[in-house]
Amino acid sequence: MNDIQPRWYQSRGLVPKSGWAPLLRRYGIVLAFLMLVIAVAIGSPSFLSLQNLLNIVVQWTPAGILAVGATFVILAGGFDLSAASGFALCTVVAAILATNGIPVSLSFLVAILVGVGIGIINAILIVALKINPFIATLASGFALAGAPFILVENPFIMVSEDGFDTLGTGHWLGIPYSGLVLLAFFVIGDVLLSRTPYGQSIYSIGGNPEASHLFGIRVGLVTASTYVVSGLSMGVAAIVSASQLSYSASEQDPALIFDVIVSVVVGGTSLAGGYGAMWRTAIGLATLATLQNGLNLLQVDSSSQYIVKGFIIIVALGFDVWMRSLAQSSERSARRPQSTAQPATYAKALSAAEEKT
Amino acid sequence: MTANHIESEAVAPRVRKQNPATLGKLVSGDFIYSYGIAIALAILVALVAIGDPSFLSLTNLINMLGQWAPAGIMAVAMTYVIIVRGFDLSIASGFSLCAIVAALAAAGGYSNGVAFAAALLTGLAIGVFNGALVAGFAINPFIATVGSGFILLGLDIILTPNAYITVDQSGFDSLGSGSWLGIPIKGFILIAFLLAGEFVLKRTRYGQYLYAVGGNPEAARLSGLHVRTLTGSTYLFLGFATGVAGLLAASQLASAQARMEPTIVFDVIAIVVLGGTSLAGGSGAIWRTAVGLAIIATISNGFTLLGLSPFYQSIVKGTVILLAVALEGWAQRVTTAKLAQRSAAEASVSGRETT
Repeated sequence: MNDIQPRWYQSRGLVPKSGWAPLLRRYGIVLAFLMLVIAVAIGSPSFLSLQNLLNIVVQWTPAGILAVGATFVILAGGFDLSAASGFALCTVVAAILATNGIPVSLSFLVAILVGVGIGIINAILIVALKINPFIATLASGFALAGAPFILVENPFIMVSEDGFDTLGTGHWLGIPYSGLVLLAFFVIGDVLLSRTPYGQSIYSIGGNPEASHLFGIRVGLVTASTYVVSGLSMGVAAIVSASQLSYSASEQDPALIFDVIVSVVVGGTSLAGGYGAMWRTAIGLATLATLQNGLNLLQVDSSSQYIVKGFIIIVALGFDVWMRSLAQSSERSARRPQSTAQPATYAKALSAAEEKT
Repeated sequence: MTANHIESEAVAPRVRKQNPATLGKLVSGDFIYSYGIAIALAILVALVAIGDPSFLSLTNLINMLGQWAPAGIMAVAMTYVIIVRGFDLSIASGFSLCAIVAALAAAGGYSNGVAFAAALLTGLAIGVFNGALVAGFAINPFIATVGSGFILLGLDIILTPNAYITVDQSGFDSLGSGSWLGIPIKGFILIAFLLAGEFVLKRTRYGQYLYAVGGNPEAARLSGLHVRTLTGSTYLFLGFATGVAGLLAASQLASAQARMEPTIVFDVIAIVVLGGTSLAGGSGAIWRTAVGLAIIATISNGFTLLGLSPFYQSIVKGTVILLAVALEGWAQRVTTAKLAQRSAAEASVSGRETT
């Protein structure tokens, strides 16, 4: 699983070229993750027990599925801030339908479709109406946050229907279904991004939308599709979460959207778009999960964890910016001989033209 | 997302200067871009006033002025930030933090003056932090302030272990609940922010520099402006405004809590973008923010008077933000296209003249 690097990449200054910087850029997060795992495992050997690891996977499945969708959006140079309220709305839809006698599978399907619908709305706002993605999804998220309370008077719904909790709490050969769903999302997401022309076009658009358009890539369509993927992941994350808890999470958890963004960014995917990979998001998610588990073992309270996480996102962002500036300065120094050559040829052309006249 | 920002170097006000208004121009897109929002406000006010005449009563209007002071004060500063192509998503958590610091200081036995000063200093510190991230480290302002917002939220929660901090010190509520000549002191502070904000932006060199930086940062840098300092200064101003808003809220409620008003960030953004200040930077005005403030306040008040669920408000406000931004972007693309057409026409004319 390599990071894909189209040829123009080298010239756009996302990855530094010389010295230790490229290695740090590419594999720094892997090193940090391994050190964290070792540290937590030494602090508490039970961390590495199979039961604990499976628990962590189950606990992080909704955030992980959302992070897969967010990776698509961010790689294409966009952003989706509506994920948390979209997620909340989908859990409420699933719970309302299931408690009103609709078969569980059908209510799950409708919830997923609602998620896709949200993705389509976001796509229209951003691609057709050309609204800045942050503002568009911030506003659509704000609007969606009110929706559960309009659909039903009390959107905090306990669901006791048979089969509603199968997806969230069931097992297959000892592996929880939700873990399998998460794994499927990561594998399919990685294959789509790194092994298909569609994935290539996402990287291309994130790297340089103008050039991609000139190459003949349908920039609008591909960008729109990433928001639909994000909407799909909202729906699936929502049914897994609703099924795990047998409860609709109508109050959106501010930490959820945060965990999603941090997973993507900490993994090393650039928020500028065009650089990153699905395995990076997986490692970012694992790092965050390990860190949280470690902080819990150290009995750090949840409010301090907000601060720790806030600093992590800023450090990760600073790292991204630092690496890009290193790359751009090395690119400038590589170009310098060319730019001094240019005036010479220009002068030569001028004198040639003068001789002619 | 960055492409949008770069495309839009031509902004409508500049075009207006090139073409003195004629009768034909009055009904054109330029006019609608400039004053359409004021017309929308007039229509909205008329509608709400017809629905419930008590809307226009002096008491109601004065109440609204006081009620919207915190959001309005932050919106004035947010206008500055947006003009230099910035953004701040951390203001809700910062607002709570400033309120909490004021309440903690007063509850801890410090005098009211010290408590208010502590809130202002907290706001300034938040502004320095955000400014350093965005202007110093060149981190995308949306993401940087999402991150700093989480840090601030963490601080809010840590500082309020008992959910509420209540203050019973006498005089602590003088700023938030007091009034003079029947008008709340908060209202005077809001008006002072609006007037000073408009004056600095329009009549000082500093204000002109901000427009230059927002219109084209690269050109501003090449003409010798300290782009980073100027950008950072807007965050400092926003931090200060957050401090003022936070202490007013704490003073009014005589208490503070974490997540005091998590949706205030939407109100502030809605106020600024609804007025027509461009998210692409380089254009906008405080009078626009004042009109945006009046519209959002009228909508909220209208909803309350008509007895509609507050959850419809979030849908309406979200939609209003989207409409405003989409329209503004559309107007800007039309302007850019017109400019391109005109310069192409001029080029062909001058080409003919030389041949």
